[in-house]
Amino acid sequence: MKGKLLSAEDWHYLLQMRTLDDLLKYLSGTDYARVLARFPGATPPLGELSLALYEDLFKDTARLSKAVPKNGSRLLASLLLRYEAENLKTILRGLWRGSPPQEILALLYPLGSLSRLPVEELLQAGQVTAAVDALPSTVFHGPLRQALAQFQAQGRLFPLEIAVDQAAIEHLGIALKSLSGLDRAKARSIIGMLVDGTNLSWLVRFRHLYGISPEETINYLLVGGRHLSLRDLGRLARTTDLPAFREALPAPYQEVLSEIDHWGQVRIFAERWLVGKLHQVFLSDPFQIGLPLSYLLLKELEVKSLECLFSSMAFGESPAKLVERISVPIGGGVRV
Amino acid sequence: MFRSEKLVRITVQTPEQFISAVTGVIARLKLLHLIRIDETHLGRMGYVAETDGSLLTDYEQFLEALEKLLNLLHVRPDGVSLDEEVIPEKEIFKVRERFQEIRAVVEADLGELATVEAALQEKQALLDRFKILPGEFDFTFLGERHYVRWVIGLVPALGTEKLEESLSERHHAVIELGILQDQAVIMVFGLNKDWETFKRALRGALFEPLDIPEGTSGSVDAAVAILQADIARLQEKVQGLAGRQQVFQRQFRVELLTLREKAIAARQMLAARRLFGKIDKSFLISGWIPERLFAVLEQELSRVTAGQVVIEKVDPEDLREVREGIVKIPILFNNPMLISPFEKLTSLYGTPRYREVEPTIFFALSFLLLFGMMFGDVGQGGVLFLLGYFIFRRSYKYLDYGIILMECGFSSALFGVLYGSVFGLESIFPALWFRPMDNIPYFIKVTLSLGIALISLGLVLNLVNALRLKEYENLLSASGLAGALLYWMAAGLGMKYLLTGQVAPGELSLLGWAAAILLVIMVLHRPLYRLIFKREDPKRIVRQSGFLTGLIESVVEVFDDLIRFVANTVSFLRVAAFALSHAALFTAVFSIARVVAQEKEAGVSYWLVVAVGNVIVIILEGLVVSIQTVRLEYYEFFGKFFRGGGERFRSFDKETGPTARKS
Repeated sequence: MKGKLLSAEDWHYLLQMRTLDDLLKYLSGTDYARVLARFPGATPPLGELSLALYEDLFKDTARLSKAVPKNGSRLLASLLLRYEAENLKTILRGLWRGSPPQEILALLYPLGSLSRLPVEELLQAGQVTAAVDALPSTVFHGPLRQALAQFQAQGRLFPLEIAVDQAAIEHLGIALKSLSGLDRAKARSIIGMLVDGTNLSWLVRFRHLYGISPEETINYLLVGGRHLSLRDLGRLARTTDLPAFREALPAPYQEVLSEIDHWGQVRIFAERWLVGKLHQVFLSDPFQIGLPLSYLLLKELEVKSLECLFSSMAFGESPAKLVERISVPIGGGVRV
Repeated sequence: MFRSEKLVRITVQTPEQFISAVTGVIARLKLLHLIRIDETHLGRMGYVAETDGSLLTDYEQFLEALEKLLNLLHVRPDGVSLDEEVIPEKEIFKVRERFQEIRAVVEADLGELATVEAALQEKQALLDRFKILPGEFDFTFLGERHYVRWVIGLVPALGTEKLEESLSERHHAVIELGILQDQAVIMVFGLNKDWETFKRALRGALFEPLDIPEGTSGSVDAAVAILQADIARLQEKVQGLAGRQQVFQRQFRVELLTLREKAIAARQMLAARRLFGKIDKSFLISGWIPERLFAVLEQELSRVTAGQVVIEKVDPEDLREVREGIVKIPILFNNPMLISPFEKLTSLYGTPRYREVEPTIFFALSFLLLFGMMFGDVGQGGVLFLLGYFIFRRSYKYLDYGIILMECGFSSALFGVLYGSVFGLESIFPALWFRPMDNIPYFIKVTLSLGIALISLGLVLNLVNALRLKEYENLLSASGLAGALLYWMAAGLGMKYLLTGQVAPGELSLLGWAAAILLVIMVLHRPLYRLIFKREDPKRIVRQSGFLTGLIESVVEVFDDLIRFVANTVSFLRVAAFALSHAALFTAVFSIARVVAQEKEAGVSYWLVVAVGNVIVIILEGLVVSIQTVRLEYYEFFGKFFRGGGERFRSFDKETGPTARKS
């Protein structure tokens, strides 16, 4: 399973490429050949290419969901809820702005039959509140209804967006409950680290990018992390500068993030640490849900890194700069 | 009935001053399947007409205002027939003027109704909020606080812990008053000076305040009582005004609906112009129309344009694009009212091609027959009929399904009479035919015969299709005439054996010889077709590369087709199986009812179990039998002859209405 991911050697060469054509040529010698086969001839538009990579990730998720026992399958399928959440947010933003349905559709992740979102109905709803009413059979309906009052009071989509994001990740915690024994322990640890990473990234974004107050930020964070308790999150949210933030971090993040010198590095350092942890899962018991779960999360990060690589190439950015923004195995191991 | 409606292609060319009148005539007739000019070479060259956007917006706004008035009067926006001509450019002034007159009259009296209804809604909402709180909760103690502020509301149940953490550095109290679905009802206290922090924390916690009006005092119970009295008073007032509403409803309903229909027709006509062609000062409309309507259309168009119209009519057979399969002729179903709902089920399988047999009538009749046989019970049939009738009366959208359900109910009841079963009770009247559980072998023979008959019908329809579509090669194949002959001979002998228990040796030997000859024809059907119909040289056929491979493929195909014949026929045994399981379920229901009655010693529990059992049987068996019937129809029957790949006729109003394809 791990062999299907791009190796450190692959990344070494990918980061050397000068043109998008060379990059795609190299990728067509990897497991991504099946994705690129869909674009014979001229170089495809970057948007379409990225969506095709994500589609490949979704197909992998569906395939693995069928290959594992039922309870594990529920957890793997729940990973896709985060993309459903992205699609739902895109639709809500489109409705809010009054964008034409075709324009919104073009921006959605191609989840196909894996998605339970009634996309057609949502697009026809015309208004945000009507769209919320069109979602009763999904995990997003309850949280969105609860956030409607704040949406109306604030006159912006943010409360709805945060409710959707929270619902998607909190549902992973619900899916965990159906597991037992080693499966549960492994999955809880991985999901816990994923939640930690998300919280760290959101903390930086909400507090220092959006300028949201600590007391508001705390409420937007997720519970159920592996190493970051609610009390830790509260403490981190109340810090005002980077040294204080580093100081407030509990182990192991204090060490993981000890070398960061600007807020933008928090996410990427935490992500690289996660990548290392996910790779370690492959060294343990091969018959547990942690393996497919780790594979899918690694593949997801790989797709995101490839997406970054495509964009940076399109904007003429140097690979050296890009390396700082992606979390991939380089030089025979994982960059941690 | 066995063919779709005969269509002809028309092309109408008219000067631009008559386009509204011409569109009006087409809109009234409805039955025109437009060929979108933008999808033809003319459209690609840019000869596409444009529509007046501002006029279209005027109609949209008018319809919006009209819907509001209809809502105020509680008038359902049903369609009404429209005989008058509509010219969009003029009509907007007429409909708008009359609408404003009516609205002025209505609003003079009912203006207050909206206000009272809004007040009622507000009070009702407040009552709902108060009901969330504990009855003994007293607001008196919460008034007049100098240093402390409080708020009551809802937060997601999982969010209270986070809210506590976010307020942990301020003096605060978060009291949980209860849980409502997934939300916690909380009361939050904090110091006045810290209240901005509280507001931010509450915003983050997606807090939904209960908005208790200022000055509320006393207990929640007392406040609820006052609100309930207010609501009763307002409801009384609404009822008084509703009387006036009904008067207006009677007075203006038809007129308002006519105005609405005119506006819709006008909007449709304007929207339709996008689909027309335009060359200089002439409009060009092209489409398919039933041949029977052509004379009427021609006459009407000549009348409204004073003869300034050119109408070209072309038979589909004369069109080269149709003959070469480049253009598809749409198919317009033409079935009687009781059969037409089944068109939906036919379409689910596929749309027949224009020249194919239109199989809905066969589908409908066999569907009802199979359903009735598997679900024969007078009582349960009656329930299905009533359910169908309810849908038929209440839901226009699902009208077709209502009719299908009524027909299934009727068929089920009819077979219930034949089987002598009412809600599973078999002692009420004797079976007119037989009881399935009493004579299983006979029932199996009946269902096999039915299967053979239905498959044979499929084979005949396949031959008709092959002839109509000129697929002569098909006639000699295993799925064509040769296969059909072999099937009929084998099935005939099989049936004879089942009914009499014997088959003469001579008959078996005849079948053997016939089978041998037919098998050879089936295997060699492609070369034979080229030899007989195409008159090709036999040597050339044999020497052509791939001849041997073709023969091997044919052997496999023949084998596959013959196995399929057997499997299709045996598949009809499920009719007997499900009818028997229907009866067996009743036996189980009555056994459980007897056991329960013995334990409880009461007749009520017996009938309760029987009633619940019947409900379960109706839902469970009804669903299973429907699925099995559809399966038999699609795989065993349609699979024998249905080609599909046709295009459904889209009437003018559907093509240009709000649900039309996006251009």
